[in-house]
Amino acid sequence: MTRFRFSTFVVVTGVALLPALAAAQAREVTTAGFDAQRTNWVRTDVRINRDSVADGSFKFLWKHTFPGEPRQLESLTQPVLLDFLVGYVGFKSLAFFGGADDSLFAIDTDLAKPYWTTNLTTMAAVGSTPGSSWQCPGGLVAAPSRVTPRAPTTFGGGGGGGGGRAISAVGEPGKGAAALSQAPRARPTGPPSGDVPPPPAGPTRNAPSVPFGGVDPLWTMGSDGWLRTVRVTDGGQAAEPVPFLPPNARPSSLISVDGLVYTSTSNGCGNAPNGVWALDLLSKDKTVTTWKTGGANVAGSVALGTSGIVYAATGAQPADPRPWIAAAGPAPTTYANSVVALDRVTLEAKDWFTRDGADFNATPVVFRHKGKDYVAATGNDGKLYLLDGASLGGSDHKTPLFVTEAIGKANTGGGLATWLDADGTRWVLAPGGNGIVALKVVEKDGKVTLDKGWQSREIAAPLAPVVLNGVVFATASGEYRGTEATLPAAERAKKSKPAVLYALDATSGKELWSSGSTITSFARAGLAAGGGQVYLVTYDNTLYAFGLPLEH
Amino acid sequence: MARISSVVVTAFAVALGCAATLQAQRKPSQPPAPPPGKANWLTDGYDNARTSWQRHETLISPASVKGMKLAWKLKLDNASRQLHNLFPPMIVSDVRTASGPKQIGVVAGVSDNLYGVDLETGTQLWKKTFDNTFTGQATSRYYTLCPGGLTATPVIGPGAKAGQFIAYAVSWDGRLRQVDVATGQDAAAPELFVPPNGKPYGLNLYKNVVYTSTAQGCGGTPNQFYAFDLATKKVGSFNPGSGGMWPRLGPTIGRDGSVYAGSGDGDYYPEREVYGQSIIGVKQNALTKALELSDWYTPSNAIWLRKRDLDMNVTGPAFEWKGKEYLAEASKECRIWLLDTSALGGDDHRTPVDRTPLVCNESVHFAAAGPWSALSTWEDSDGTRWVLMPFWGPKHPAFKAPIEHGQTVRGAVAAFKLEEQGGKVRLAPAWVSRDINQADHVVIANGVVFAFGNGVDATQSTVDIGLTYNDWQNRAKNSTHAELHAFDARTGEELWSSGKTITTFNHFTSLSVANGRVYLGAHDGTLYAFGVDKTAAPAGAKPTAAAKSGTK
Repeated sequence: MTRFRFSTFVVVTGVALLPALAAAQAREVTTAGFDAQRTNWVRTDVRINRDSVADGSFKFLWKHTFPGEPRQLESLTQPVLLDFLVGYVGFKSLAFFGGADDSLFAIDTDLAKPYWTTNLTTMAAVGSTPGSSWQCPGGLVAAPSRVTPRAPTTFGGGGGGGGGRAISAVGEPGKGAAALSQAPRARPTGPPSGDVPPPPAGPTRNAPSVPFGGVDPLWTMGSDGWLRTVRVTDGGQAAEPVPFLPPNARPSSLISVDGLVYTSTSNGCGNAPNGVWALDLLSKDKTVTTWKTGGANVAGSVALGTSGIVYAATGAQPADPRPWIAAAGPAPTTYANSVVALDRVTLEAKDWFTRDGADFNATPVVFRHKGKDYVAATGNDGKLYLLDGASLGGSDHKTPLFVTEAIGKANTGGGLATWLDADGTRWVLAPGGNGIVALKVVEKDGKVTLDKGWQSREIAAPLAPVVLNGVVFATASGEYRGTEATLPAAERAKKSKPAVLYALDATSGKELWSSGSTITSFARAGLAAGGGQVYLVTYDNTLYAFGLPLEH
Repeated sequence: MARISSVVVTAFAVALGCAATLQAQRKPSQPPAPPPGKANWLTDGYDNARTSWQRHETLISPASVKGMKLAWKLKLDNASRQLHNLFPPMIVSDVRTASGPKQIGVVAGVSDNLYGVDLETGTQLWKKTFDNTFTGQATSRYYTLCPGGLTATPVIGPGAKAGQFIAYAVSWDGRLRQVDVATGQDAAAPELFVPPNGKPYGLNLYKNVVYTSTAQGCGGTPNQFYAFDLATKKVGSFNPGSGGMWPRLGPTIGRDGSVYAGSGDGDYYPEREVYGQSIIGVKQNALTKALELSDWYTPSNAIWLRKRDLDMNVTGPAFEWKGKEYLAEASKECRIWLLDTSALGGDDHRTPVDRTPLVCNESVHFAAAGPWSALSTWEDSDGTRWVLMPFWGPKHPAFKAPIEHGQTVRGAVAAFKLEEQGGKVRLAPAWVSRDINQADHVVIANGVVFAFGNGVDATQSTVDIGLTYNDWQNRAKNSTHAELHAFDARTGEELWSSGKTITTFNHFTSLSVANGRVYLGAHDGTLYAFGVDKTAAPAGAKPTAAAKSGTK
C-alpha cells in the first residue's frame, strides 16, 4: 500500500528565527501561478522592489542548460521554488522543474549548481500513442507541485523583516534583568488581522502539513501518467507511485492542496478525456476522480477558490468528433466556453458561467475583494470576464459581473495575474493591446466592475505576468502562436524568436528594465520568482535567473 | 617581628594574581607571574579576552608533552542533557581549605550541578546542586539546542578573604550563584539575573561585573547581552534587535571593558537599529549600569550568511599587537575577520582590517562544517602573534598553508600569523594540523597547542527525515569518542594524542590547562586529566618537590 508520510515537527534554530522563516515558506512559489488562486503575485521578496529594479541593481545573474531534448515544443516546465530548505548538506534555495524527457531537476539557485536529477522510470506501458504532435507531445509537461496552502492566511500584502530593534535596558537593583519583568514570548493566538479566508468547503480534510524543517514532498508526473512523490532533498522516492492519468495525456501544472492533487487535460492526448482530475492522497485507495468537459479543452490549469472550490475555464467545443467522446458513451453534458465551479473532492459541477464564443484560453485567477471570491478569466474573444465566485453566471449562468470590451487578440493569451497594492487597490493584469493591460477593481453603483488602469509597451505573445513588490515582470515569449494546427513543432520553433523579460512599474506600466538580447530562445512556461530572483525557462532547456547579485 | 607564613604570602600573591589575571593577562608583556606550578584558569578561554592561552605554564613544553599520559579520570554523577554534560574545570591554585592549600577545579555540569575537584589527586571534594525556582521544568520542551539546565561555564573571582575564591555560576532558573570554591557553600544568596530556562553562555568577570550572553531563544527568552553589577545588584542588558548571541566560551571583554559577541542568524537593518548578523560591542554605562552599543561590524555578505545559516557562533579573542587591540572573529562560513577594536568595521561598519579566504566549508553547510567553538591566540617570544581556528569538515580546496599535515577530511586546526605588509595588517596562513575528528576548542601552553576532536555526530538534518534527525538519541548513537591532540605551536606537528583513552564523545565543552595538566570532560560525565611528568624539571625552572599523582 502506498504511504504518504511527512516528517514530524522539530525546531532547529532559535525561536526568533522560526516565525519569519515559516512565513517565508508560506509565500514561496509552490505551484505554477504562485498559489492555489493562481494570482502570480509573489507576496514578499525582501530584495526586489521598484527602486532596486529601476536603479540598475537588478540584472541577469546566471543561466544553466540542462541535459535532454525538447519534445515537440515542450522542454522545461515552469519552476516551483523552495527558498529555504534545511537540507542534509546545508541550507538551500532550490528550484524544481520537469524536463520533457521525463526528467525532474533541482538546482541550487544561489550557486547556480544542479542539486539533483531524477529520471522517472515508466510505471505503465506508454501505449501506442506517444507524443507525435505539438498538441500531444507526451513526456513530462506538467509543472510539479509542493504542498500549497488552500488560501493565504490573510490577503494583504506581506511585510518584510521583523519588528524588533536594539534595546538597552537595566533592571531594578536586586530584581534581575529588565527582561524578567516581560512575559515570555508566546506564539500568536487569535485570528490574524485583515481579510481572513473562509473555512474549507465540504468535510474537513486532515492533510498532514509539512512542518518547519521537515522534508517537503514534491509531486510530479511523466509520460506514464503515474503520480510520483519525491523528496525535495534528493529527488528520491518519498511514497510509492500511484496511477493518476492515462499515459501520454497532456496534463496541466499539478497542484496539491489539502491532500488532493489536481490537474487538467486537454487536446484528448493519450485518449484521455478533456477535463479536471483529482487524486485523493488521503483515501485508502488513492482514488482518482474526473470531471469531463464533454469535449472542450480545459484552458490552462485549474484555480482554487479560497474555500477550495475548483474553477476550470474551458475553450470552445471542438467541431470535429473525437474518439473519446464516442468511447465515453452517451454524450455528456458539455461545458464549452465556460467557467465551471467543481466540488473540491467529488469534482461535481456546482456552478458555471457560459458565454458562447468566449473560448476561454488561460487559467482563471481568483482574488478576494471585501470578503468575497471573484474569478477573472480571458477568452479568445479578446475579452476579460469578471465573475462572482459564489454565483459565477448569476441565476441563468450567463450573466457575468462585468466583461470588458475586446482588449486582447485571439490566441495570444498567456495568463493573468492579480495583486493588491499598498493603498488597497486590487489590480487584474491580462494580455491585451499587444502587451499587458492592467485593470482596477472598482465599485460603481454597488456593483463590482473593472476600470482601465494602464497599457504596457508592446509585449508580443506574452506569458502570464508575475507581480512582486510593485513590479510587474512580463515576458514576450517569442513563441510563434499561429493557429495552423498542422504546422510541425520544428517549424513553429523556427518561426519563434528569443524571449524578452520586462520589468514594469505595477501602478503605471512604465518600463523599468528589460533583458534585451540576453535570452536566446523562446519561452512557453511561465515565470517563477522569489528569494530575490526571477526565473524563466526556455525551449533550449535553459533556466535563466535574473535578480539582485548577492555576495557569497 | 611576626613572621608571615609562606602559605599566606603565597595565597595572597595568588589572590592578587587572580584579581589581576582576568584583566592583565591579555597584556603578555606584563603578566603577573604566579609561582611555578601555581597557574590558574579562571574563566572559559583563560582570561577576559578569551585568548585560551595559558601564560604561566612551566611544565608542559614541546619536549615534555611527548610523554603526556592520563593522570587520572573522575566520573562525576552529573546527568547528561541533550548531548551536554560537563564544562571544563576552572582552575584555582592555592585555594585555602580546612585541610590546607589545594589546587581545585570547579566543574559545572549541565544538570545544575557544580563540583569541586582536587586536581592533584582527581578526587571530588564537594558537590553543589542548585535549588531550582523554575516551575516549568517538567513541562518545557528540550532539544539539542535548548537543553535546559546549567549552560554557562562559571567564572572564578577573588573572595573577600585572602585565599578565598568565588565561583560565579548561572543556574537553570537564571539566578546568579556565588559559591565558595573551597567548600562549595553559598558565599552569597542567589540573585535574580537572567530569565529562567534560557541558554546563557560562558560567564566573564570584569571590574566586579559578571557578563554573559544568551541565544537560541530558549525558554522564550530574548537573545541579548547581560551584565550583573555586583556592587549595585543591577542587571544591564543589550538586545541587538535580531539574532542570537552564542559565542561558545562566552562573550569577550576588551581592554577598555567593551564586551563582544556575534549576533548570528539575524537581520541587519542599521537604519532601524537592528544589528543582526554582526559582531557587536557593548559597554556598561557607569552611571545607569545599562549596557549600551559601542560599535559593531557587519560582514559585507551578511545576507548570504543569514540565508545559509553561516552565522557567528564562536568566541573571538581580543589581543594586542604592536600597540593596537584587535578582535579575531569567525562564523560557520569558515573565514576569520580581523577587526580593530577602536573601529570594529571601519567607518561603514562593513570593513575589517583583514578577511581570510575560506578555510573550510566549501559545501556551505550549516551543521557539520566550519568553526564551532572559539578562535585562540598567543604571542611567541619573538613577538609573533598567532591566531588559531579549529574547524569541522574538510579544508577548503583553495585554502593553502605553507605547512599542511596531510589531507583534512573531518576537521583540523588552522594557524595564522599576523603580518604587516605595505602598511596593511593581514592574517597569513601558517599551518594546518593533521586531520581531527571535528576539531574543537584550542588552548596554547608554553609552545604547545592542544586541540580536541569531539567525536560527536554533528548531523542535524538527513535526506529522508530532515530535521527530525536532530534528536540527542540519534546523534549520541552515531557519535564516536573524543580525542585530545598536542601540536607544536609553531609548526603544527603532532606531538601526542590521547588515542582511544577517552571512551565517549563530548559536546559543547572546552579545554582548560594549568600546571602540567590538560582537562576535558566527556558525555558520560567523566572528567579526564592528562599531564606531563611533574617530577621532571621544567625548562628554565629550579627543581621542585615531586608532586603526587595518581590514576583512578
